Amino acid sequence: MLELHLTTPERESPASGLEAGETGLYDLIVLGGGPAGLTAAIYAGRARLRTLVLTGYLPGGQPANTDVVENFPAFPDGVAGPELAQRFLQHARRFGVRLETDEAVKVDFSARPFVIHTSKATYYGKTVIVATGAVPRRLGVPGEDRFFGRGVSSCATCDGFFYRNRDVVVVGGGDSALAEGIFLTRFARQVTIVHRRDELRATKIYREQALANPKIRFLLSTVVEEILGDQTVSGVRVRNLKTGETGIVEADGVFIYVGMEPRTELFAGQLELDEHGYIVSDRRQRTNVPGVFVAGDVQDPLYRQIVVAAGSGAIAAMEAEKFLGGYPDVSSQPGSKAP
Amino acid sequence: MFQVNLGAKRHDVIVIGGGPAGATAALYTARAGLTTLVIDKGLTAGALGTTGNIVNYPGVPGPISGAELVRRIREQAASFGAEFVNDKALRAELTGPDKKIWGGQGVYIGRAVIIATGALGRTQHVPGEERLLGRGVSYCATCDGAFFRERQVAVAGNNDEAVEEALTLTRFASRVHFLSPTPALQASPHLAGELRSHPRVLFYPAARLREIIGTERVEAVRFISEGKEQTIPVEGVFIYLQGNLPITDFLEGQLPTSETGCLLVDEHFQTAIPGVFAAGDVLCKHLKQAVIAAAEGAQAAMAVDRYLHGREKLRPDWSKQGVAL
Repeated sequence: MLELHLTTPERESPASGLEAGETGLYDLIVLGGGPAGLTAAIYAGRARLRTLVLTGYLPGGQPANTDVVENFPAFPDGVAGPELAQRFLQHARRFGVRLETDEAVKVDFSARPFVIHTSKATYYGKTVIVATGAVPRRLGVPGEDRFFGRGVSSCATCDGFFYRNRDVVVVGGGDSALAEGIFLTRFARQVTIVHRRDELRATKIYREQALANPKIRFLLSTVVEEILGDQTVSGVRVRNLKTGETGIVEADGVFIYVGMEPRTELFAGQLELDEHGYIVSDRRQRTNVPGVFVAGDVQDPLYRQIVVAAGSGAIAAMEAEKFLGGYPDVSSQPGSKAP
Repeated sequence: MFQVNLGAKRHDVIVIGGGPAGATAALYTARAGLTTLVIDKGLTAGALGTTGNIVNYPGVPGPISGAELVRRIREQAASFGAEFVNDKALRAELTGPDKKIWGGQGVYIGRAVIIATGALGRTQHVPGEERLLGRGVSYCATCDGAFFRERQVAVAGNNDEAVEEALTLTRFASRVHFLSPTPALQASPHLAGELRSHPRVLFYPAARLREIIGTERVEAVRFISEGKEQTIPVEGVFIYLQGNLPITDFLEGQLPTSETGCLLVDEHFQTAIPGVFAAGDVLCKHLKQAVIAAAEGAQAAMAVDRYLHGREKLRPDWSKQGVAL
C-alpha cells in the first residue's frame, strides 16, 4: 500500500494562476511523465514554477511497465515498478504540478512562448523540458509487425505470464535481453537467446545468471530473419552469420531487446539530434534552443537508469528555473502575459 | 603512520565516501557482481547526512532526514554484498593495476577506485597547523592517539567523525578538550551523549580555533569559546573541522583539479588515471542535490564495470547449445 505523508508543513499550495484554465501559459511544460520528467516536475513544482506535465499514455514511464526495480537508490527492499511510478506521480502532484495524460502531437520551438499542441488542446510554455524517453527498437523483419502484440513483444514483465510451459525466443545480448530472458524462465519451458555477436554485451551478473540457468540456451553469431506463424507465432527463421547456415527455432513467443529508439520524431528540424536520433545537449541539459531543456533516455543512449534519468531531470528543472530568472512567480514580470 | 598490511584483501572496487554518490556507486558495482568496499567516516560525516528534511528526492516525498536517506541507500548496497568500513582515506597510490588507499586502520587495495568524498573540506588552515603537522597536529586519532598517553589533547569538530575520534582519544589522553565550532554537536544522539557525559572530556561550545602554539612541538591552543578567548596547554591537536572545499587532500596532487580544487573527470566520470573514477560533490557540478549525486554515482559505477570487464570475452558453455542449424 502506498503511504504518503501529505501533512508536512512543506506542503505547497498550487502557485498562483495555476488554475487559470485548461490551456494557458506555463512557466514550464514537461513533455513526458517518466522518472526524468516527473523529477523535473518535482523540482519545478517545489520552486513554485507553474508546471504542466504531459505524461503521455503510460504515466510514470518505463518503471510502470517493469516488474521489480532493485537499483533505484533508497529502496533497500526493491520496489515494484508500478508502485515507484505512482510514487513519482504523487510526489509531483504534491507540489502543485498539473499532470495531463496527454501527449504532444506538434511543437513550435521557434515561437515565444513555445507552443505545444496535443490532440485536445494547445499549451504555451516559457520553457520546455523534453523527457519523452525511448521505446524499444524493432528488428524490421517479416512477421514482426503482423505478430506484434500477438506473440511478439518487448515487455516480458507484461507478457511473460502468457508463456507458461511454452518455448520463447529472446533477441539481443545486452542487459535487458538477459534480464528479461532470466525473468521469462519463471514461466517458459525453454528460453533461447539469439544474439548477432559472438559475445554478450550484458554485465557479469546477468551473464553468469543466464549461463547458469538450465532453461536458457544461447545462439550466438545468429540473427533472426523472419518471424514465422499462421494465426499465432510458431517460431523464427535464423541464420548463423559465421557459417551462413539457416534453421528454424520453434517458439510460441518472441521477445525483442535490441536497443532503444529515442522518441524525437516531433523535434526533428527544431532540436539538434545525433546520428541515432538522440537529442544533443550539454552537461546542463540545454539543447540548441535556449529555453528548451532535455532529460532522461531521450538524450541518453548509454546508461538508461531510473536514477540517472531522475538526476538529469533535476538538473533540467534547475536550469529552466535559472533561465526564467530565478523568480518563483515570473507571471508578475512585465511582458509575460498569456497569449 | 602508514603501515602496509601485506595481507590486505584485493577488492574489485574501492569507493571512498558513503554519501549518496558513493553509496549508489556501491549499490551498482555490488549488484553487478563486483566485490566492493566503501571507506566512510560515518553516517553524518557528509553533507547529506547532516541535512534535516529532504522533500525533493524523487519517489520519497518525505520529509526524510538526510541521514535516513543515506542509511537506506547503504542498506541497499549492503544487501547486494557491498562492505562498509569506518575509516578515513589518508593517502593513496593510484597508478598501476592495484590501487592502494591508506586509512587509519590499514591499507585497502582495489582494481578500481571511485572517489566520492564530497565537498566539506576545509578552506584554510589555522596558524601553526601546517608547521606542526606530525609534531602534535593530526587528522587521525586511530593512527596517532597512542602517542598521547596521559597527555592533554584538543579535538576540533562537531560531527560523528570528530566525536568518534575524541572517544578514541579518551582511551589514551588524560584530558580531551573538545572544541565544537557550533553551540551544539551535529553528531548522532548516542555519540553526542557519550561524549558529553565522558569524565575525561571538557566540552567547549561555539569554539573557534585561532592558533596552534608551539616551537618544536604543539604546546597549546588558542581559541574563542562563547566570546571568551582562552589558551590551554595541550600536546596534541586533532582537527575535524569542515568547510566547502572538495576533499582531495589525501590524493596529494595525483589527480588534476580545477582552479577551485574540484576533481576533473571525462564524460564517463574517469579521472586522468585509468581505473580511478569520481562522482558527487567532489566534482562540484551540481552541489548538494542527493538525486544528482546518486545519478553520478550510478554512472561512475557503470563505467567502472565497463572498465573492469572491457576486455573480458564471454566464453559460453557450448554444451548448452542444443539447436542444430
